[in-house]
This record gives sequence, structure tokens and C-alpha cells, in this order.
Amino acid sequence: MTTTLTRRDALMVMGGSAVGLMLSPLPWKLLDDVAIRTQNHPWAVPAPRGRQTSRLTRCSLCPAGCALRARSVNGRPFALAPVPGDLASRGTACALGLAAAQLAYHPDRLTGPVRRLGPEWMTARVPVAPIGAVHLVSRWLRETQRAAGAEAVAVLDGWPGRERSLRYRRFLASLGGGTYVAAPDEGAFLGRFSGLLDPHPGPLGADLERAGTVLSFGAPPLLPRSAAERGLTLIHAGPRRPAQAALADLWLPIRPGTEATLALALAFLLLETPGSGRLANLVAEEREPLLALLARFTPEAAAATTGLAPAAIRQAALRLRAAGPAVALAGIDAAAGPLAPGDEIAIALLGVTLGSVGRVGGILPRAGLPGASDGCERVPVRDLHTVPDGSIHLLLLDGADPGLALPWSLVAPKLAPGARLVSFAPYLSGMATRADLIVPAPAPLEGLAEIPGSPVLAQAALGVAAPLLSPPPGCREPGEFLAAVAAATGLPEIEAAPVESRLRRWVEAIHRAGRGTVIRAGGGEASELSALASAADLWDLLLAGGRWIDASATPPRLLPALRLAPGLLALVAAAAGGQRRARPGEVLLVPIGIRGAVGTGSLPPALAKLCRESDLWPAAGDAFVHPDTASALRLRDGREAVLVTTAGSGRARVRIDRGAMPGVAFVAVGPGAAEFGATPGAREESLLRLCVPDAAGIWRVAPATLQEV
Amino acid sequence: MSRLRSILPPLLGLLLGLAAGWAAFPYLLYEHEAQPLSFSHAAHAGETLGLGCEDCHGFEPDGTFIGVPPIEQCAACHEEAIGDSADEAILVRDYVQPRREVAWRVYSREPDNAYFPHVVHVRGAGIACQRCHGEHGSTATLRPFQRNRVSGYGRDIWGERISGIATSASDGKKMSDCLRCHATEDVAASCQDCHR
Repeated sequence: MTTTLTRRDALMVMGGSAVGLMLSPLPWKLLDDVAIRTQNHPWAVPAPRGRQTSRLTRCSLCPAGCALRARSVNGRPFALAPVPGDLASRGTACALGLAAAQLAYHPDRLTGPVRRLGPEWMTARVPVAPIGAVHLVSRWLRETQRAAGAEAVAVLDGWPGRERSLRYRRFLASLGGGTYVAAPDEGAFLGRFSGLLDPHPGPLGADLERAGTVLSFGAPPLLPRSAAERGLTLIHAGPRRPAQAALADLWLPIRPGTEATLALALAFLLLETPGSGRLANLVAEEREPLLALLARFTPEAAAATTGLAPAAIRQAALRLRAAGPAVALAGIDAAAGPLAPGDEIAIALLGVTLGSVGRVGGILPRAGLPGASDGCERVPVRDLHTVPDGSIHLLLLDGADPGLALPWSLVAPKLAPGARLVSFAPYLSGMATRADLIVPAPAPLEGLAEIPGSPVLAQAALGVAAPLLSPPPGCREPGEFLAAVAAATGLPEIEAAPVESRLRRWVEAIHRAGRGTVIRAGGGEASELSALASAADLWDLLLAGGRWIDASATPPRLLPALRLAPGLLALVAAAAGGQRRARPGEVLLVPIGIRGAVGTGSLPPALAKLCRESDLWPAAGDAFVHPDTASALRLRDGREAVLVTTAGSGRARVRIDRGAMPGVAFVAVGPGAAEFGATPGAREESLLRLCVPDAAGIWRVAPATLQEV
Repeated sequence: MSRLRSILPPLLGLLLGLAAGWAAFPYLLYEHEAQPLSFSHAAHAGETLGLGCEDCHGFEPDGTFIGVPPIEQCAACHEEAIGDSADEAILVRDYVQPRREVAWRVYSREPDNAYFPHVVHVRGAGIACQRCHGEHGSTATLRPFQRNRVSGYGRDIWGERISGIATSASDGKKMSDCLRCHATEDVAASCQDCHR
């Protein structure tokens, strides 16, 4: 008997095999293993075999400086956890800090200098030897000095007030006076406030340790844990309740751009009877015009502008009066940036009428860090918008990322045609993607870093993040790199000592000053600094995650008064009366974002992945609109829409949100979780580019159209 | 006859599929890696020398699990060879004297995204090592380590059987095994207990 195998038989065998395989563990086991394999990313911190150890340190990603316990294997950290016993952070740390162990393994991490060959749109970069980078910057420096003078050399410092900041200023001073530009930070408002007071009190800080109430505009400050536990009342005024204000005792949902109106209305109510003699003690000049201005901002008038009920404004004023001392602060939104100068002056005026300036629990002169005086007065600190357009020929970009947005459209006009950009960012992301040369600095956990404390607080503080990893050999501290550039250029010698020796000098100065308290990360009560026998003991304590906090600030003998120079009242009046309104068919675009996820740096990859896959945070490109607004503009939830402003257009995903204010599109910006995984340096710019900074460098609100695709 | 003829091809295919899925697949899925040395737990533990698990796989004072003991611990007894086995001679020559750590393949090494606190289970809950590791502590030699070619995990994580059905309480160290034990013992478990 012969058997002929037919095609039908072959197909039957294959079909049977398929059924057989389906009845075996192969499909689901393979699926399971492949799923596991796809979760293993190159950025995942390798957990090498070996003995586990742990040490205490502090997070250096923002001024909060939370205590962290770093778990390591063979000296390599792979996990960070908060420290419950720490008096400063009280066992908390944000998601960014907890995932920071991955930052050293980020796919965008640069391990040595790289240079872009060709125009700005080119993403390809070639490695440069460290010494080659020094000579290249030296050559650009000489060319710039010859062509446009020392003023045309600028440093944009992402996080002013650090030891590295002093080095930048010393470098610029060695040139004979370059341009030192500070990126907007939380302390900027109090700096400007100080400039409005007479006699000039010097640097100011808010005595939140002893304050009764904080009224925050823009974004709430980083509140000391002790203040929150003591029962400090937090009132927040803003169009959207930011994450930090989730625990606010009272939220005043005002329309975008009406902060000055609310501040003036509250000042009106606090003065009770405008025209009384009390104002004479508070305001040095322009009292009558000020009274005339305040009289226009009755609660009823302000309610029409801000969208609040008059009763809500009165209630807020009552709470400010009842739970003193109260301070009013203009914060900086992570995505929307600082408030307009007119808003800030109105808030300063409110602060003065609260009677908290120069008093315990209010706004007090802030003693700086002992030993950290810069001695660089020849190079003043400038705001970016005060730099003339087209004046910068060589821009050195600090790589620090305090987590706040800085639109490129604010920087670009300041650059001369053909200007050179050098970045010290550890990653090829954010502004570094525009740089001609990147000389990467050590990433978080790789270098010794100081954490100077929030510039909003009246008490200075210092923590130190000990290096837990060795940086790649091609990475270099910017200060040391600039010292090498200065030497190669023949500039007066600037100190090239390592960071550690310079920070130790700060610590010695603090110990000599002998004031303040120290806390240990591992727990225990705060103790007096004077109890430490030597500066070396203080250094060891800081390296082990401790923190020094200055003594409480003391009120000045002479209470300062507000000096409103001519023209400032007009600025306030314009800010209070000229808020932007959307025309029919338009929305007001307000950028939003989470601090740390909107800056120029890189997100820890696991966090980016979590954001992308979970919607835990607003994903970059999401536009949140009220159902009424969506209905009026015929927008549907989840659909793609085109967002158009005078600066251009971009695609956004519509998210219908009852919490959004009608007529406003809250657009999430940032280096975006959604973009994670794209080719480094080739990511789309965030929708922040649609917000055009005005002459004062403010980009908070922009009229826009939003149309479904 | 013709009916049998028509059934035979799909039946053959079915058997081939089952054989591939149940027998060939596990063989191909796991690669076998020999341990660098043979080691007799039986010669060290139990009645022979009287060592307990924690004498070598102990804890730091802060509760950190030592896991595989460092070579220093082996050196405490094996600075010189005290027996006549070839493996001990290699241990002394290649590892103890140059103080080089042995690259043991750890059968039950947890995945990188999970953290198993031994101290909580052993000291806190009083669970015997055998509950999860079976009779590994009394074996006379070390079996080859089987690494999953796709996921990279050791075979002990999934369990001996490719079906994933446990043959004993110590078979398998998957998340579902942990959760089952927690449910049995009525102990709460949350994501961050292990994934952090």
C-alpha cells in the first residue's frame, strides 16, 4: 500500500501543530517572558551582585533638599528612598527624587564633550577631546572679545546662588565684565521687593517658620514641613490649583492675569479706610495717587475682573487679618514662569499693607550663607529680559535644572547672528540640543553638590549631596573647565580648586559664625551648631545627609516703607486693569506643568515611562478645557486639535476637565513623557514655544485658537 | 481506513505541537550554565559541621541580607585546603588566596525591579529557609543554573514545571507565589512593599 502525502495533509499537520502548540505553555509563557524582556530598558539601573550598603544623603534636584537613603551594591546606588526621621523633609521626597538614581544612566547622558558640525538643525554631533573643548571655547572667547567686547560673553545660570554661580561670575570678572544672567527663580520677587523699600534692607526672605498665613500668587513656595505641621494657613490665588497647593486651606480661583486686581482689592480692604494715616507709615511716596488707585478696587469692582465673588474676597481679607502674621508672595509657576512686574508691585503693596515687612513672621532681611559672599560686584546679576537684543555673541549655558521652564523664545532674541552656544548640561536635552559645544558636567549623584535652600525663606540653609558615583572621565565641573579656558586664553588666573575644597571653606565660615542649628538626616532633634567641636564635624554631618539652618532672622531697627517711584503706579494700574481677555472663538492659553518635568533637563526614565503609560501627570501636549468651552468650540475629549497663537501653531490633545476655568486652555508643556524614547536631540519642542514672552520677559498667558483637526 | 487516513495528519500535527510546546520549548527556552565550582551544602550544613543557613547567608546588624557570602567568609576556614577534593583546591588557589569573589549563579535571584526583604520574612515572620528554598541546603552538589533566554531570569523564579503549576510550596518565586502565600497567611501586601 502506498500513501501519497498531499498538500492537504501538510496543511492538516500544520493545523494540528498549531492546535497542539496552543494547548501547550508555549504561547503564554513566551508572551510573559517577552513582556518581561520589553520592560528591561538600557536606562534601568543595573543592580550588580554584591553586598548591599546604604548611606544617607540629600537630593540635589531642587532647593527642598530632601533627605534620601541611597541603597548601593558595590558602591553603585540603585535605589533611593525618603528618610522618615529627617526633621526637614519629614520622610517625604517627590517622585523625581526617588527616581533620580536612574539619571546617571539616562539614554541622553553625555559622557564627554561633543560638538555639532553644521547649522542648528543638524542633530549629529562628534566627540571632542576635553583639551580640544578648552581650546575651542578659548578661541571663541578671543573672537568675541575682539569683535564685540567682554559684554558680549554671557552666562545663563539655571540655578543662581550656588558655588558654581560664583565661579561663573569670577570668570566673567576676569574678562573685564561679561554678562551674568540669572534664570527666573523663586527668590526673584523678594529681590525686586527689596528694591522697592526705603531704607533698602538688602536681600529679603519670608519668615515662614513663624508666619501665620501665606497668600501665594503664581505658585506656592516650598513650605518648611515644620510650618505646615504648626498649622500655617496657606491661601493660594491662581487660575488653576497647582499640585503644591493641593493642601491649601483656601484657593481663590482667579482669571488668568488678574493677580494685581486681587492684590489691590485685598490691600483696599486691609487698609479699611483708605486715606487714613496708617498708610503714611507704610508708603513713602505717591500716597495720594495710590489711594486714588486703591479706591477703584472695591471688592465688587475686583470681583467683576477676577471672577471671584465679592464675599470671597472679603473672606480672604478677613483670614489674612485673623491669622497673622501674614505674608503675600509672588511665586514662579513651573511652566508659566514669573508674574508680570505690575503684578509683583501690587503684591508687594499688599505685603506692605499686611504690616508684615520687617516684622517677625513676615518679610525680613535675609542673612546670606557665611563665607559665600561673591566679591564679584563688577558683574551684576541681570534678568534675561534686560539684556539688549542681539548683544550676546558667546553664551555659556549652565546645565543645572531647578525644574522651572525657560522658553527658548526668551533667549533667542538676545543672541547675535552666528552666536556660539556652549552648554554644561549632563544630557543632550532641552537647551543643550541647540548648543554648538556641550561639555557635560557631572550628573546628579555623580558630583559633590551643595543645596543652598529656598531663596524665599528668611533663614539660609545648606545641605550637601555627596557623590555616590564617579562621573565619566570626559565630564568636568564647569568651574574647573572655565578655569582651564581662562588659563588657555591668558586671562587673570581664576581659582581652579575642586568643589570640595571650596565648599569646605563655606562650611568653615559657617562654623566660625557659630549661629544656627544642625539636623541629622537619620533623625533626632535639631541641635545648636555651636555644639559641634570643629568645622570638620560639620562637614561630616553634612556629607551624611545633615543640614544646617541659619538662626531666625531678626527684624531691622527701622521699618522700611514702600517707595513707589514715578511710573510704577501706572505699571500697577495697567497690570490691574489690562488683563487679557479671549475674544469670541478664542481661548487663553496658560501653560501648566509639574516642577522638574518642564525644565531644561531630563526626567528619570522610569518616571517618563510611568507618565506616558498612566496619565498620572498631565502629558505634554494635553490641553485641558472646561466642558462649556469645549462645547462652544466644538471640541471632543481625546481628539487632536490645532493650537494657534501669534508665535505659531502646534498640535494638542483635547482633555475635557470640569476643573478647568471656562475660556481657558491649560496646556501641559515640558520635555514630555510622551516624547521619551525619541532620538536624543531630535525631539519636538514643547508647546511652550507658542507662549510669546513680552517686553518684561513674561509668558504666562497668550490668546489662542483651538480647533479640532 | 479512509477515516483513519483523514484523522492521522491533524493528529500527528497535534502531537508534534504538543511535543514542541511541552518538551522542546522548555529545552530551548533555558540555557544551562555550570556553576564555577561545585559546592556541597550537605558537607557544611546539618549534622556534618552543624552550620545553619544564617551562619553563611546571614544578616548585617542593620538587617541587610548578605546573600551569597563574600570570599572572606570562605577564607576563614579554607585559607588552606582542609580536604582533598579538586573543587576545594580550585577554591583555595583561584579564589581564596587572590581574594577573588566566586561568580556564583544564584538560582533564586529576584528580578531587578523587585526587592525581597529576607529579614522581614526570616527574622520577623519566622519562616524557615526551606519554605522557599526547599532542600537546597542539604544538596551534595550544585545543579546547573538555567537561565531563561528571553527574560534573563533563573528557572527557579518560574518554577520547575513549564506549566507554572507548582510541585511543592518552594517551587516557583513568581509574584503570584508571593501573593498566594500572603493571602494564605492573611498578610497584606501592596505594590511598593516589593517594587521600590
